[in-house]
Amino acid sequence: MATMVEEPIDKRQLKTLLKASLKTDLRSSSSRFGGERKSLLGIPPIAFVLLIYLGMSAMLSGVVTRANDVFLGAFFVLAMQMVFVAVTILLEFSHLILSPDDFPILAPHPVNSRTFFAAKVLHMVIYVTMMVVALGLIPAVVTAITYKQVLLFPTMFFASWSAGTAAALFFAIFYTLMLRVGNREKMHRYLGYLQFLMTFVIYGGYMFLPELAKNMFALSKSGFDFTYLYLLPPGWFAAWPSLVSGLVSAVPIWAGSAGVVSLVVLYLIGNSRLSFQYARTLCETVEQQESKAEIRSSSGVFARLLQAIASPEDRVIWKLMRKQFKYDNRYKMSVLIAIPLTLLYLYMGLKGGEALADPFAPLETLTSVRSTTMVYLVLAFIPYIVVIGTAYSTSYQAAWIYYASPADRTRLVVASHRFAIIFFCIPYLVFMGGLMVYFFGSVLHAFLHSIVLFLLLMALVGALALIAPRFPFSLPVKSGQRAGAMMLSFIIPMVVVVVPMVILSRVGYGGAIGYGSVVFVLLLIVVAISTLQKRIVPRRLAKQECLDG
Amino acid sequence: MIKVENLSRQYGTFWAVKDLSFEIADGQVYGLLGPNGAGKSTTVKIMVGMLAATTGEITINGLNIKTDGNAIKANLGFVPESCALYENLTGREHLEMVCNLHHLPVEGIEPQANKLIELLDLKDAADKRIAGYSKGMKQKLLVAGGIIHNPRVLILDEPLSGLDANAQSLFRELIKEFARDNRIVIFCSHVLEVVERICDQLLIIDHGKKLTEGTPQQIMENQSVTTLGEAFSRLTGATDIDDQARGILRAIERGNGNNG
Repeated sequence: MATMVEEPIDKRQLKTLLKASLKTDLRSSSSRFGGERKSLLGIPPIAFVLLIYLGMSAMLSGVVTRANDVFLGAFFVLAMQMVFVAVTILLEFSHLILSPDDFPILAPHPVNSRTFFAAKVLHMVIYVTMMVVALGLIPAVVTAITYKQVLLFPTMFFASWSAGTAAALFFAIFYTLMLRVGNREKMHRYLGYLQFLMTFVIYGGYMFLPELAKNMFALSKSGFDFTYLYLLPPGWFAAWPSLVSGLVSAVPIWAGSAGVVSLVVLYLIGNSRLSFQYARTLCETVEQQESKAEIRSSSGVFARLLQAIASPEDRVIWKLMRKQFKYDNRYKMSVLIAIPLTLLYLYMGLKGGEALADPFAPLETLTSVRSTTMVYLVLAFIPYIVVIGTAYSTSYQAAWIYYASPADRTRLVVASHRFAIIFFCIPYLVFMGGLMVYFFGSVLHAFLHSIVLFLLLMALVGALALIAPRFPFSLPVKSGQRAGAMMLSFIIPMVVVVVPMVILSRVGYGGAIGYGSVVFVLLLIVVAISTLQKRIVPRRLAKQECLDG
Repeated sequence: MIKVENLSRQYGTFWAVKDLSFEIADGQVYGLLGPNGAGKSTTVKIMVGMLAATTGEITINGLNIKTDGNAIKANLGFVPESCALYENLTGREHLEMVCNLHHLPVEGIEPQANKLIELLDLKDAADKRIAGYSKGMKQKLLVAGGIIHNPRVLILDEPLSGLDANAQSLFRELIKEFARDNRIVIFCSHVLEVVERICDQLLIIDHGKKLTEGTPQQIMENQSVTTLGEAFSRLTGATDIDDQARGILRAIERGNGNNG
């Protein structure tokens, strides 16, 4: 295929392919033919993510004003932006970089490899630019105002764009490289595990960078030397505003040059990786994966557990969820992402040793709201992540079976929620019970408090079914959907579970009567939600139509 | 003219196509038949450059698919079995995309697309997202996209699937018209009545290997049967179909406790 690589970029084809990609992005949440189907809160997923990023840019602007140093401020702003871009690439890889669908559609047409690569890179650059505008525009303005230098605005913005593009290219290349290496039949699975490992790095960055920034800014005031930061990728790009501000010396010049070189090198490597021939490899890998996948029957333990505790609808959905988890990397990732988040939030919450105050004991010292929020947020977002992740699938067209079968529709919906409670929440609750025994020093208190938490979770999961009842794997995956859902996963559980827990950790149960009242009210809420579910969910489901394409 | 020589495609240890050779002359409608999983789709995917052959050569009008892929594709139309379409584009946008990828004169794209949209009865849906199309509408759009650039070779993988009777008749006639214009049509289908009526030459394959080749009449005579369906069953070893059907019915009755 060497002759195809030699062909020049076809501008007309490039324009056509780019137009198709952008239309796909922008329309991925718009109304379908014959019926309106809106995304989260009626906002297109991409716009939703960008709006949230715009909000976060205000936080990044705060970093700039606190840094007291152009380089240090720029370093942390760019580092955070690179993490955000990396998260997006991680979550939306198949939409933004390479989709196994591209090749079957485009292969019969005379599209050359370089044109395909250029279209993919331009699409990614446009997406990154949108993100950088949302994340970097305000910090760039704030940098220019803080240091009273107009030129810092374009420099800082260009540095943001370059850092974001470099991060996007790096992750795109890294992933495509992984697909190229090793046993093809297992490659798909490896990619899933790799994505899983990357979430630790990325969410670690997201969690620790603000704190690191705070500590470093404090150190910088005491004259600490941060020259080594120029060695890190965000430092290469942060050197540009640093140079423009007048801090001209050998280290920023070398670091700034490293930024330029890294962009060029990444582009050149990408040129050989994101080719049309590579799209073929990806397509063949997926086909091969599908043709070779061996379907083994359920393990004895799982099958017996199913028989013992589940209704026929539960058995169907649970088995489906289990098999999807095993063979669908996209789904696996959407669920496994809960693990790094759990560990990181737990670490952040428990590191001060003050997050878990015994609500039965006299509350002499107030617990930290932030730490308490972190610990209980984990408990709340686990079912949310599982439920949201289970609604979306590339196999959404198979959902016709729910509409065509005489199964109880409400039970089919609730089955995925019960799965989240039984297989995710209860094990985590047991783990938290252990933590509570350690912190409270009382098994009874830990047990009683766990009951309250369990009831809150039941209320949360029940409310999710009421607000948005969805058949499992019945909605198409859209650009920005997962990132948008991840953002919402912090907000809804926060309101339903975390706020009551923070209040409780400050006021306590106030004795047996207080505890009894809390449990009684929660029981009433759970029963009310359950009753409402039986009435409302069937009505809402009756209005839904099968997306059979 | 299309020449396929010793074509093979291997997946791991499995040979989807093994040592397949055939030739198609200009003006022929060439039928590619075989049971499910016989290797038909793999063969056509290699012919359009979607898959690489493990071994063997394909030349179309003197050009080799390995080295002159885009030159071949410029004169090749393909209608895939799966609905491979960007579902967020409209039908009109899909056709415009195909025209642009094939470098049709810009001023001719809109009238060309409009004409096909009207002839294929897609006028009402042309400006709506493909995601909302019925299977038949998608199939019509795929056919339109396969022929809009006026190809000399047309490869159709189950093109009649999902189409209503009128649309099927239309496409049958279209295929014949293509061949009358001295173009090559490769037609993969399971609808043997249609294959028998429109194909000049047939190739029947199973397990990736050639079972027989010839005109429909020759194949029926060689198997001493009166229909292509019977010849196909004999060649592919499916002779106990009645028993199989009864067996299935008995199995589902048993599974439901004979409740019907």
